[in-house]
Amino acid sequence: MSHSGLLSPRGQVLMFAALALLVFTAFPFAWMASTALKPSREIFVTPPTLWPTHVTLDNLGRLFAETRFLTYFRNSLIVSFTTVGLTLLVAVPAAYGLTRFRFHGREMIAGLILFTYMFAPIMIIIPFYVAMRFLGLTNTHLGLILAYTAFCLPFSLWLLRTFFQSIPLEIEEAARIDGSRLQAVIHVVFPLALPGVVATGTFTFILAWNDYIFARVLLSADEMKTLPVGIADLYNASVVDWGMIMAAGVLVIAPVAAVFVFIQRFLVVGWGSGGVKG
Amino acid sequence: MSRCVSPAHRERRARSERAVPSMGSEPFRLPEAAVGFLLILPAILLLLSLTLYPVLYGVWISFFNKHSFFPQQTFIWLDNYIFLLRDPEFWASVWRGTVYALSTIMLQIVLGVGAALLLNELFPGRNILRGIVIFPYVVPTVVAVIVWKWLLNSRFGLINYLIEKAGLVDQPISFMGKDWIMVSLIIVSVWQFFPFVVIGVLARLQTIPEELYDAAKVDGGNAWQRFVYVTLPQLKSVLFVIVLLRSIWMFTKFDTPWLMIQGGGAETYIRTLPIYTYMRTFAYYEAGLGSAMAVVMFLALAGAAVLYFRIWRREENL
Amino acid sequence: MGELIKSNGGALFDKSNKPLFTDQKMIEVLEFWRELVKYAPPGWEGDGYLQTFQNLYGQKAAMMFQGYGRGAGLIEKFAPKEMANDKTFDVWSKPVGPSGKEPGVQVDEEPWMLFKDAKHQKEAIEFLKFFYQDDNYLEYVSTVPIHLFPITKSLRASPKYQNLEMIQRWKGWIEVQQGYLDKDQGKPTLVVDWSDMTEKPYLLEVLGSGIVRDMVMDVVLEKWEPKRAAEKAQRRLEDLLRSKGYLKG
Repeated sequence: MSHSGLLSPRGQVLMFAALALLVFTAFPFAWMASTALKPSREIFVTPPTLWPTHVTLDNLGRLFAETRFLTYFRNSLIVSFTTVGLTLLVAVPAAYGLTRFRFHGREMIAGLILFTYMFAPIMIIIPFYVAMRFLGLTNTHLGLILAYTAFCLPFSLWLLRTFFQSIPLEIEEAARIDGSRLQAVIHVVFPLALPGVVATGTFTFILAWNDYIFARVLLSADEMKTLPVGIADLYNASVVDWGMIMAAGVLVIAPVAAVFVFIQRFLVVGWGSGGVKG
Repeated sequence: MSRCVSPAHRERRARSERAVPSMGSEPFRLPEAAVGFLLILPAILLLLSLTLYPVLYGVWISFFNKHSFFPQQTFIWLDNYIFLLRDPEFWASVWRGTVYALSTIMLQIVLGVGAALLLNELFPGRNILRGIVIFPYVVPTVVAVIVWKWLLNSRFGLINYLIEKAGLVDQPISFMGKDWIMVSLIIVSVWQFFPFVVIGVLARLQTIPEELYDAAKVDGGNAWQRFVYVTLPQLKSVLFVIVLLRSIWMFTKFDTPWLMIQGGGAETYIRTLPIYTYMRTFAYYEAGLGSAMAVVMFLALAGAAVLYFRIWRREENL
Repeated sequence: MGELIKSNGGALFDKSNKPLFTDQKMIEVLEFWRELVKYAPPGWEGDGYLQTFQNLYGQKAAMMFQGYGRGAGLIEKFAPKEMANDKTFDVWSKPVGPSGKEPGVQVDEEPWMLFKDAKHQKEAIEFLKFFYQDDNYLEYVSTVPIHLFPITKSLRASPKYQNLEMIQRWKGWIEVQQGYLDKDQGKPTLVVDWSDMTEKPYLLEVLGSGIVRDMVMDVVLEKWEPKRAAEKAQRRLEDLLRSKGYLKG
């Protein structure tokens, strides 16, 4: 990779392209935050102002006082974290089992992933809904959690399996000599696989946090709604209160942003600390 | 991240995989195979009951005239499928869905590969930009749609202000109206999903050995030629997977078009097959017909995937 | 559409549940739509329900087809203070069609539904009685502009209601609405005659199917001849009703 100076023609092209990419990707978010902080009058003024001349938290206040935003937020937290818990609970042992015991894990998992991806949510939602109705699980968070877990499992299995595979058997065997297999796993293997577990948990969390269609179909009571459905309904009901809607948007992506920043740091550290070869 | 495969390692591994009692002091020990099986069992059960069962059930009720909420159903064999074949709305939605999917996939790939190439170069702030570029992909669809609807708002949107100021148009464009809503939908979808391409392509780009480029430079190749003759062939396999996955997902995408329609949008013009499926199931209450549409979607996708793999294999063998 | 067909002296479905969309009366309604759209702002079809209100109080549009209490509420919230009254935003009476004698008016209803198998039926009824007591209902009306026009006669007649500031500002609107009710011209969505409420249980499914909307859009957006759009809607509705078992043969 040539390290041409910034001012060379090539450097200029690069910086220009980078700027264009930055604007395309990030500007909508900046605009959202800016609108969220503007008072209502300023939002509709022409020409539009880039930064609010008067920063206000009124939109946020309205969001909390006049809508059920906080309820939706709580619901999303409950559902997402439980999904992560359930997925990891099931996937970690399974991935471990797939790597440590002789199975045709690889082809099976790859096939399974493709299989579940081919059945996009829109296809599966109809029989899923009917089945959930039959089980009385519509309008419950449990139904939703089960749906998300099912969808996250194949990819989680694959990801975790990759991580478990990269932990050399010697380390585990060395630990086993000193104690039972279970102890070896808990004290040695698991900490080494932690980056994988974190990555899987993150992926699962994001999927559950962002889902719309399952929450839309399976939930109808307002107090059960998760954020995507709650925000969409909020938008329909107050489509002209852009300040409030944008404030909602900012708050919805805040956890995702936080999680991102958190795991970036964590993953880098995880990779650095020995124990994992290659 | 490769496993150590020294001969000694292999020996030890083979030994440990025979059912030999460990040196620990457990009174009862399950045979290895049983432990392994038990570890995987919960995952298998969950997947079978929550994925396979609904799929099979879906195929089952596609042969019935079933009301979405009430338990009554009548067996009508292939009537749902015959109806679809004769339904002009069905074909119209297939057409719209195809237009949508093909346009977005192409643009996602082009933009994604371009961005990945850029992010593979060294420049200040590159790592931060890499993190930022992922963002549209990890936010909920509802946020992506809402923020773009605001940008594209026909009266107060920033985009309209800018293009009017730049003299490109006399009157603001109605981005949610019949002429432009498909374009708006494509813009949002490309913005939302191109990071997926970036991630995959960038990961692959980083493994392309520098020597290949050096050799090409020695041979007198310019940047474009280097891209076509060195980079692209190396990207083939990852692009293959990316195109496959993006195709599956864009053809069956429900969230993004549906949320574009909410709160105002010329619905008919972006009524893709997933949207029509949803409408038929939850507005007409015809779960049987909806399932039939889902089955048709799956068969079409599976067929296309098979064809895709065949072509790929043939290409590889040349 | 229910109100337009009614104001043209027609109906949507006959006694045997056969759609009447290819009737001359419906064609005239479609022609009316076609005329009306000539004055709509470009891209109007992309504006949602609430955006339309915004066009009105944002002074981008001069006239709106439906108003309701929600309109008054939004005007009060977003338009300049001096404009938020019935002098600035007046009400035009509903049109009458060439084949009709009197206007039809759609009533936006928010029905309470008490299910037969509900657990706490008595309590629910008690609650409703409590809710609609004048003093309690008045509280509700003053905070929820959609209920600008309360459903109980007693509240409408009560001076406490009539002296509310907001009601004073929109008195003209309320009088027009009262007028329609007095002449029994107000009906729920897609209901043409009161008997429809019990004899035509499929109206919501018709609404949800979008067939009627598609028909209007075909005429105003796709520029189809009304006859052609009506025939397509007729076919689709007959299919729909037959598949649900409401239409025989």
